[in-house]
Amino acid sequence: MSIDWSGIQGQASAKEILTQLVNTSRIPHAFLFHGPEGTGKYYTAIRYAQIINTNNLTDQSVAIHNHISNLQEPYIKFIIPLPRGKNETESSGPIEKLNPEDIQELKSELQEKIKNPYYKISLNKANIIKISSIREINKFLSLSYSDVKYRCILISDAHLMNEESQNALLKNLEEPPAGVVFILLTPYSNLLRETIRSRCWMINFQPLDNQNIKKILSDYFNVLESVAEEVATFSDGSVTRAFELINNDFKSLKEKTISVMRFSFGGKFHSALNEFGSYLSESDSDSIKLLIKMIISWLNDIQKHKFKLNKYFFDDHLDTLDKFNSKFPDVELNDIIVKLDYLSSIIKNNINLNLIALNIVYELASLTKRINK
Amino acid sequence: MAYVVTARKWRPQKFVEVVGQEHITTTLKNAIKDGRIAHAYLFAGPRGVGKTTTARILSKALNCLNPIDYEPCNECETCKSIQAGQLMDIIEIDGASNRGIDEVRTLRESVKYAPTRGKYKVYIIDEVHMLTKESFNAFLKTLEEPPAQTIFIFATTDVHKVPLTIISRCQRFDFRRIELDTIKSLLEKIAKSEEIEIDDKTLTLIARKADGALRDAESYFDQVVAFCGKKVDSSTVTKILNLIDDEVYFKLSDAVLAKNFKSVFEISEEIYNNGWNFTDFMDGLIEHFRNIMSVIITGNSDSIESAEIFRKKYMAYIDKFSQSDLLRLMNFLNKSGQELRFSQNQKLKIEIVLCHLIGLERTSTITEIIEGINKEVVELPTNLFREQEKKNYRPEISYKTPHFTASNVTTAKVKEPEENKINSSEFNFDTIVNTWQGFVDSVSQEKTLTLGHFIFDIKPVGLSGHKVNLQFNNDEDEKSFYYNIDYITKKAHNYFGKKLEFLTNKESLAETSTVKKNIEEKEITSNQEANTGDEFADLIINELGGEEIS
Repeated sequence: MSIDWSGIQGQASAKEILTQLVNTSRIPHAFLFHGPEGTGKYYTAIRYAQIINTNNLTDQSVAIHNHISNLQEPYIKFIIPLPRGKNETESSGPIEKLNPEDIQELKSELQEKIKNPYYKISLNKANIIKISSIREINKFLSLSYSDVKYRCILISDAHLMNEESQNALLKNLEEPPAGVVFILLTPYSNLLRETIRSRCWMINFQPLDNQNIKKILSDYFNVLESVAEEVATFSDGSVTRAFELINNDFKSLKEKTISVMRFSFGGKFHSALNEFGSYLSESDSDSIKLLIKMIISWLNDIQKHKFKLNKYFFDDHLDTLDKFNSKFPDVELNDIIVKLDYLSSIIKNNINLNLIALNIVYELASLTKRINK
Repeated sequence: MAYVVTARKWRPQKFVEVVGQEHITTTLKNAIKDGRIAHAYLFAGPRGVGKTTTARILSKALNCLNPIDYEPCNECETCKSIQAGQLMDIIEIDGASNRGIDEVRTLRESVKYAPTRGKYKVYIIDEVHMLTKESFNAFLKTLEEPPAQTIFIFATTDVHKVPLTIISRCQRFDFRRIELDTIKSLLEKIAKSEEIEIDDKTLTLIARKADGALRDAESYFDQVVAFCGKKVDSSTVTKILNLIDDEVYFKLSDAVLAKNFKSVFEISEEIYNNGWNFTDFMDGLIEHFRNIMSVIITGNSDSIESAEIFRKKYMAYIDKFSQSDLLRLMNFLNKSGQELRFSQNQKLKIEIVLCHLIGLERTSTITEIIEGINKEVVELPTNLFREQEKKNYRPEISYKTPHFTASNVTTAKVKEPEENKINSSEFNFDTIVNTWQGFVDSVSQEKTLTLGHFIFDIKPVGLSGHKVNLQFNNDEDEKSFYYNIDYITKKAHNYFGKKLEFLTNKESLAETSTVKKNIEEKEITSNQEANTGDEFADLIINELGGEEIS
């Protein structure tokens, strides 16, 4: 049986394993797709649901495929984290108590996701998969449909299930009725309970390579090729990350990184802080994380340059790397990266961003001995 | 017959079949032999090591009609009905779903009735840690003095969640993690009986991944067999289970030996492209070095959990690493492993860590150094990496003496001018140049943060009356300097004994450079003035910058 994976970039090994399972017609009843965000887990899951429901009757198959890609119950059930409604109790349905604006937002996000499988759904305050969503699975399982062979239950961001939700899922996950396939998607599989993980067939998703990222960005997000090219290197193999960088105006971010570092290394603290100030004033708190990441990438380049490797993040700033390495051959990179990492991790504790900026500048300055420790 | 997963099909039915827990099965058998059966048992231990299985076997052995050597016969009527789950006297309860106080109350009600057919009434409560606090407390009285012929067996993975009052009322058995070789031999047996071809390396991979849990091992085995069919090869297994290839570790340790920094980036790329977890890699790497360590210390590969082909490779490392080096490597890896867990940019971080790892140079032990001194040939380890590490990782060696004298010189220089304050009558540009260093030192000591980082770069280039011309490296420094001009003027007044005004030198660069040269020359001549009449003393003073103490 030939299997159509077209449109899904990369993920050769995941595709191969799934293909093999379809060919031997041993379909396990529970999968756990894990791997970084924005690598095509959702898209693969949808496509897999379509593939296992393909039969010889072309018309019928096409109809079912359409139902599945439109996320229509009873063909597929899609569970996502939802915000909590007002006065919501355990017994109310997952979207029963949401206010109209939330529902509107949910609808439009889902539409977007149907149109573009690489889109990341982001709902305000949706940070948990509610137990009521999990309980709805029971209802879904108790009914059976004859016109579809396998019905899939897709749980996106499965790590956002809390302890109770996970426990409530256990029984169904272990022994679902015939013709039901669970697919759990998560970037953080180690946050799931061991009992959940051991019940699932784990399929690993790899970070995408730059070519794939570029293609997805231009095919699905209409990003200019030149921009896609630049961003892909910094994206860590994740479409979501790449898109985040584009949203934060990647070009100016890169320039800011270089200038902040240049000023800090040179001990020109006023200018460095000014740069930071102008950057912080026009962006949110997460963007400083990106900046720190860029700085670490740059330091990593220094290391690579020292060993004459030819794969850099900052390809167009080779001369700067060269100059830095010849001027400061003995820098201690390990410590500073630990510190920068720490700085980027305490941002979530609601720390004053100017304080972070000051710390970054001084850390960088200490690297070139502008400050004695 | 319908397909039954390996873990259920091969569930042991006798005490002797339970592998890896001999200390428990023997104890239990002896207890049955002597008739010293406790009324409550608590089985604790990690997942998939045989807690539930042992509980079931125990309940069977107690009720079996014709036990053979205190093992259940698995053939008599009671044994069969227990296996089919029909005997009313054996009650198996899932503690995770029946955790409320109401369930426990019902249970307490049923406890008082005598067994119907067998000798004992056995309650097996699995996952007992999930009972609520109230349920546990409701249990206490019953558990302390249950009716005769009633036996409770609790099984749990999280014994710390069970109240101490419950634990103290039970006989506690701690189940061990099952050793790698035991898992391997069992899987081999299963493979043989199911006619599946599987090699030692693959078995090791599965057993290692299972991490001491037999059920996990068996379900991985199932997965692998489902995927590969009758012939299983290790490369597919690595792919399905998403395991890190052991070769990677060897590549890295070879890189450490060869000081090959480039391979770090190849390795990190490989991990990244395969979608392996960086923290898993770090854990594996620590274990890898631990294996090398154990080979070096014991001289054989007995204490390594590894496939046969890798044992040979480990043995090859015997005289390549020294013990202290390995300890240092492992220490460093351990620390970095912690940091990596909380890192936001794991890939970038791991590259730096691994580079650092390779850069950790060889050390000489103290005895080696002493021997070297005796031979008057101190062989310092070759320094292939940066100076910095020397400070961090070789605190025992301090052969670099020049550093010491250098600092002595500067302190000496600083103190001199401070003691004999300059007379204002003989105040000229030379005095400023000669004492400038001392002035700068004391300024940078007092105002490290605001002035310290650039004040050394500022040079006096001229003097006219009370006005000193200064040469700055850049505008930035100049700006910062004038922010603190009040302090500096005051300080200069104290130091030079004269009120001075500081001006920026706007002259052309060429001129300043000649002036600079002059200054340097002057410094050199001032240093070479030492003449004590003794040839060696002169040499010491001039070359090492010493000072004569009379």
